[in-house]
Amino acid sequence: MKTKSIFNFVFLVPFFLPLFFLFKYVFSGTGVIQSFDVAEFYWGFKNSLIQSVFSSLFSLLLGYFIFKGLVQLRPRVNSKIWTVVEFINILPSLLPGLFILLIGFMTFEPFPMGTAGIILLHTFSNAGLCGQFFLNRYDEKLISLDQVSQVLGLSEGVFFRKTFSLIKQDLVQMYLFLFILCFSSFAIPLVAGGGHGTTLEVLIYEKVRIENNLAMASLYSLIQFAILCLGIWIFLRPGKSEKRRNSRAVANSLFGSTFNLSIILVGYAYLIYQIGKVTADGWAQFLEVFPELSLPLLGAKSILYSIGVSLATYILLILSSLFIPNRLLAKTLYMIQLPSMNIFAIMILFLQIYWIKNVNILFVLIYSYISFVALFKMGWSERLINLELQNDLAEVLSMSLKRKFLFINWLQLNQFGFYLSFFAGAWVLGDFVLSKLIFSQDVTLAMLSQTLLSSYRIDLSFIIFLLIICVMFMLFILLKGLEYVVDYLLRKAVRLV
Amino acid sequence: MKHFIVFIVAVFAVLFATIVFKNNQLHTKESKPVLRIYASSSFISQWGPGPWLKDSFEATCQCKVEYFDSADSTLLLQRLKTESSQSTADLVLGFDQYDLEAAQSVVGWRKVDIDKSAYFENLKPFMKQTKMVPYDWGLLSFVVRKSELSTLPKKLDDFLGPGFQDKIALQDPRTSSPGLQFFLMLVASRGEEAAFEFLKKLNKHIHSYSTSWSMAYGLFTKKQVLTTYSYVTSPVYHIVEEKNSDVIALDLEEGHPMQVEFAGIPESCKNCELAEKFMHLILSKDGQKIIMEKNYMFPVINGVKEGTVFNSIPSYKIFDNSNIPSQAERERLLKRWSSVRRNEN
Repeated sequence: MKTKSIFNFVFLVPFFLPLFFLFKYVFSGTGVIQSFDVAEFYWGFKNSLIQSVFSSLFSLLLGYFIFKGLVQLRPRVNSKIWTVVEFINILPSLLPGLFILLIGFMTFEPFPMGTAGIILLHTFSNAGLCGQFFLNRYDEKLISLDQVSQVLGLSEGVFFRKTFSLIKQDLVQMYLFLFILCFSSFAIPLVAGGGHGTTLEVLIYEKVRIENNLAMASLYSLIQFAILCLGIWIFLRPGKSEKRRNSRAVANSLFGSTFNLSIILVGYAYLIYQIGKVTADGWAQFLEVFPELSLPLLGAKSILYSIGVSLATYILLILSSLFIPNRLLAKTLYMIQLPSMNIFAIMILFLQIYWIKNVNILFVLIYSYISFVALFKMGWSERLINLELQNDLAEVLSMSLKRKFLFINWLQLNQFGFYLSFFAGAWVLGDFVLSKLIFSQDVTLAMLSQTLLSSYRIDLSFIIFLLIICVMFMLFILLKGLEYVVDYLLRKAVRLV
Repeated sequence: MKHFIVFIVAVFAVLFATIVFKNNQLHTKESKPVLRIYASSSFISQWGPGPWLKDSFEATCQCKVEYFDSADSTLLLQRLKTESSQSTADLVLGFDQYDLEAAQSVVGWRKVDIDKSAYFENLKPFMKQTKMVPYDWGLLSFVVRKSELSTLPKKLDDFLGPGFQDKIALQDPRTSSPGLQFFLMLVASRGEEAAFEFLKKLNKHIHSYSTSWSMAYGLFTKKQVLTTYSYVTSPVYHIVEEKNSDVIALDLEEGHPMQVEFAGIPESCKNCELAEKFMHLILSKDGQKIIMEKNYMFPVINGVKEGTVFNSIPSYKIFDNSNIPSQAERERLLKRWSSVRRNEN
């Protein structure tokens, strides 16, 4: 038990390193506390709070609406089309902020810059993910009750009231996750804030990027971290969920109607129409400059980075199951939040890590690290806690660590692990902030699209964004395939096949 | 499952083949000396002047030119500061007149012998206090679409009218050079208090303060705003690339600030002679023409614009901004600007 605690401690240490750096920078800066601008901090914090509260709320509401459409759609399509629908559904939450903003420009005339704009874009980008979340919780907890309720002739409202207590904690957790996601969101507030809706995260960026004031940035980051920790500690109650059931068993549901389904289909159609319009505008220019763009090389490198980050993140996620089937540790790791990680990443860049000579490996490692911390909040911690009982039981039965890891943890976590690692790969495909800091020239499609954007060529940049989406889809398929292969091999090892 | 494994092997084979093939192409020239140039993204991008200058230089120098993308001048400065004496840069391109003080405090620069007589007269005041050399320049103004306005603004106060409410995209002066040019021109032309009074009124009309010129210009091209602060050469892009002459740069009574971009050779350079030769290339007529046409900026020497579309750009009144406030003074003003932006919410 003692050895296990030491292992757990050693595993957690790297994730607390950013805090060490933040403290170090705060105390190394002279007159940091004296020059602390309360008005500026309050302004940033207020903007962060307002946009996070409403972005999360509207995302959940719209997500619920989407969920009702998805429930209707699922029995009507085959599994291949359903995979595409799932991909499209989570796609907005994976796209770079600039791309989301361009879609916002196409849809809203004029686009409301400032806090309203940030809320709008956050809602748009997170709603699909929320829809998927509702669907997962429905499959896990409500699907059987839904069937019974239909037999009993209950209405949707009555059903929702009666079953609310079953999913209440899940909703709080999802709201909290969205709140942290929006509170620590950087790209969207930076571009859609338009200087009027500057958030705390953007202020931290300004301190680092404009004023080169790492001490003040660290102080802001620490205060932000403390506030979020307090909120998480108070509200987060990691709960157990039931084993997943066959999600395709039900053809009808109390939830949703053809209205929801039609709205979702119309939404997809409108999006495709707008994307098609911009693509048509930039297509001639794209063909003209195509030979100059080195697209095969940039595309190949983008794929390799995304595969590298996906696999490294998957390994980190799976390895974490060796340490974290432990409620307290899960909660502790959950609290380590993204903004500090971003700052940390920037800091280590400025400090230059000489012991990692290969810049490609450095990039993949930093991105995997950042992604792991973010993905941990996307349901991973809960999955690990669900294994706590099984692990305890295995220990009582004197099961070896290897067997416990292979047959209990890895086997059950494989599918969700690949699903989450796809997010990491997709994020790196759309990244140009960190990559622009690390690489001395454009090495990915996202970096190229940003360069195009900064030289008048917006429509061309949009087409490159579309290429990124195609690469994302390839990655999605690739990881799905890998998931099946690993699952097959694991089951073979356990002799389940 | 076999199919999937074959698919994965094929995907990786193609990816590695692409990269290995490209790397082999690059390694064939490795024995030659390498000239390392730090420059902005727009300069070294495929459609910028960088690749053209590289090809032209490599054809005669028996060397290899390597560009390092530094996104913008702030990052360029931070990179030089971090690398300090270990800097691998032989030549640095992309500082403007407001970066010179900081650039000179971070790294020592070599003096370069150039023929100043051919330089455009208005640039000479900027060359007095630095060893760095101007290689292009631009004039800034508000750009509009003629078709969207019944009357064109003639002075800055015209932007305070109701027609421009929430329809102006400006840049954050702390992160964007055009934003800083506009802000400092206001302070210099009106005095600090009057400038801030004007800014407070203008704030109500500002759609957004973007972190970069490209973001603000994107808002303009996507018709989210009526106007943005850009270069008087911006309309040329729309004429050349889009055959659209609707976009024009306004001629304002207050005049138009100059942005001058500089090239410099750090004292820590490894291939200093090559760097100097490259600098002479960009200051030659051919080099200047490439920079003008690819960067959409004016050439620094006379006799380059003639016979090109740039010659058709009307002459604008130049606002003399050669008197550059110190870095500390700029920081003080920008801090005040930040609080003005905050108070307006």
